[in-house]
Amino acid sequence: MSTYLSETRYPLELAPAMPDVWELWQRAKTLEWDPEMDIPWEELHPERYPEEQIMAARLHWSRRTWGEYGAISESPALLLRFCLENRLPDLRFFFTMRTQEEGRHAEASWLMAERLGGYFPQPQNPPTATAVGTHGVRRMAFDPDTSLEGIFASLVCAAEEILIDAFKATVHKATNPAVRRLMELILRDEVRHIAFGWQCLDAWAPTFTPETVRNIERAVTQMIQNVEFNGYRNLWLAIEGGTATPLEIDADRVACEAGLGGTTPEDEMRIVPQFIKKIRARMAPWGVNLPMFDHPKLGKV
Amino acid sequence: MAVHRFLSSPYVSVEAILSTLGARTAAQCVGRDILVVQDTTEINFAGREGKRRGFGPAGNGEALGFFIHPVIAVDVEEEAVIGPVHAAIWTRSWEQKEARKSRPLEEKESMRWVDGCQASFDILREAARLVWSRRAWGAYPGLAENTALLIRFCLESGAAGMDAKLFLSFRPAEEAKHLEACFLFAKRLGGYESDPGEAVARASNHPFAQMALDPDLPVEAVVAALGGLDDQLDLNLCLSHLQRSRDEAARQVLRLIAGDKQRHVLFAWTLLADRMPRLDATSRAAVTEALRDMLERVILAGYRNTWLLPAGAREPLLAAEALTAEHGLGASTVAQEKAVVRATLAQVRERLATWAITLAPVNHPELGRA
Repeated sequence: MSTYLSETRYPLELAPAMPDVWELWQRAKTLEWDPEMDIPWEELHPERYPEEQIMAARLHWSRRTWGEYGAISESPALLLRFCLENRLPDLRFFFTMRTQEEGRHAEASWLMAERLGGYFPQPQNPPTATAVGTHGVRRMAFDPDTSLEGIFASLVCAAEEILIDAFKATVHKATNPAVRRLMELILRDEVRHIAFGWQCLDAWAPTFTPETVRNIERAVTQMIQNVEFNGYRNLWLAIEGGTATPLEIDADRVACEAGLGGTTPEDEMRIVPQFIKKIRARMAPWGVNLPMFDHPKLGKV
Repeated sequence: MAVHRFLSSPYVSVEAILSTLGARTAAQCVGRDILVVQDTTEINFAGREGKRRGFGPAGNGEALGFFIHPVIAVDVEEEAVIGPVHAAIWTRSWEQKEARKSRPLEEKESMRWVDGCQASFDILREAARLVWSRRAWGAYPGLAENTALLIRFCLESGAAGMDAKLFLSFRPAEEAKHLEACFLFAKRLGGYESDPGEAVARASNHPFAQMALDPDLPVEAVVAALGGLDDQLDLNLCLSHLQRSRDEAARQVLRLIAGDKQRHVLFAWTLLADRMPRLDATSRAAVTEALRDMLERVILAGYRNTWLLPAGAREPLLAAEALTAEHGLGASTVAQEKAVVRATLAQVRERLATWAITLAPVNHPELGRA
């Protein structure tokens, strides 16, 4: 124990300092759910779907599990940073719940894949793992040279925002009651996660230096170009010639059309440009100027 | 002259002197039947006014003087005076006041009788508030410690060990709820104290998160030290406090915390049961060393138990814990805690013996050989 750096954690302030964030923590405690109990699994009926659709849905929910799994370690990495940097108690309290919720999303997505016929523990073509990996998020969270604001803007705001946008735009297409309920429950949690990110950044914005602003621009740009456009959420968005199999790339569309979750390319063509436009406008008051992005399928966005 | 200098120091106040005396008296009251008596005394300088300044009229309205209304604790059985609990000290104004009957109680001198009674309750509330604040200081490291352990599992086990990861993803939120519950309890008793003071801070300030992320330390050593030993002790102490508590709110908080902790401890022992049989000799030695380190440098240094803190630094908290235990507000006595520590060490040794891991006996002036 004596070989470690000494930490300074006292005086230990615990009184709420950001009432809106404290409220999110309070709300999160009352909205806990259990993937085993709160999803109408008896209404899933995988036997009623053709094999192609079930395979697509299994791939879709397996990939969602891999993505949520990344958050199981990303979220605690940030929480640990809050603790070590003695950030406001509200942040620390809320993020413990976020960590728990990401774990629950991973479990629920895994259960969905399992009950649809079986979870895939890895991509069909292993190199696709680079598209759905955690993209050095943990390293970023622990890098003292990467400002917390940049991490928040890219991971807590932008990455979660596009997920919510895609869920919001497609939850009505999930005609399967079990799938729809799962999407609603995940969405309910993610709305709090994103609210947390924006509330923090809005509160910190008056203290942003030009360096902070550049840091945010860099982090968000990287997230969009290297993560979102790399197929992290939807492999159809990955640049042509990627490593995913055609089956994997098409899985989201097929699953979505079967009412089993996912998005179609048409959905993505609409959701992603709107998302980029929205966060560009949302971050502009902080002095953040996001560049235009070129994507072979989406065009200039 | 020395007393004069002491009393004139800007760091010395009447309130601080009275509150220190009150706390010491409270500590002496533990375990005794106490009668608290109060009355007003007039200090009258009639014929000795000289150069005295700052006084008001004494009882006769002419001589200089002031008033003191002490509240004294007396042992019912021995009739011995234990000490002052509280005192109100005041000077009357030379200005004519409006008729006594038309003034509200708060503005009358007779309010001191009510204040005197209140002071007796305040001492108890102050004690319990400190105890629950201390519990929050002890709960806080759990946030970072379990978070770091979760990251360690994610880094080391890849896609395997999902059960442990999902379980650990819940733990920080549970630790945060315990922390909030202790904070709220202290707040409702009069206010959470954020500063534990130097000695307690030193005893509480262990870098468990760094330990959990230390690649040179097998994860089994971290789980054995933090989960098997420290969490087990924490759970057993919690159950001891619960058994002794009579206040329903304190009982409910302790009951809920114990329920969670039971799972935390079970997690540690279940994981160890799965992994210990496969550990090589080097890793087993690291487990033994981590347990020894946790026991000697952390637990016996007063991380969980105030009576294990160095003498001179522990007395106010010890008095507070004794008073809180006495009134069933969520604490155990020193004797009860000593029994819990001994029982826990025996329990942990028995468990470890299954895997031929030995936790060597320790000698401690407060605990003896255990």
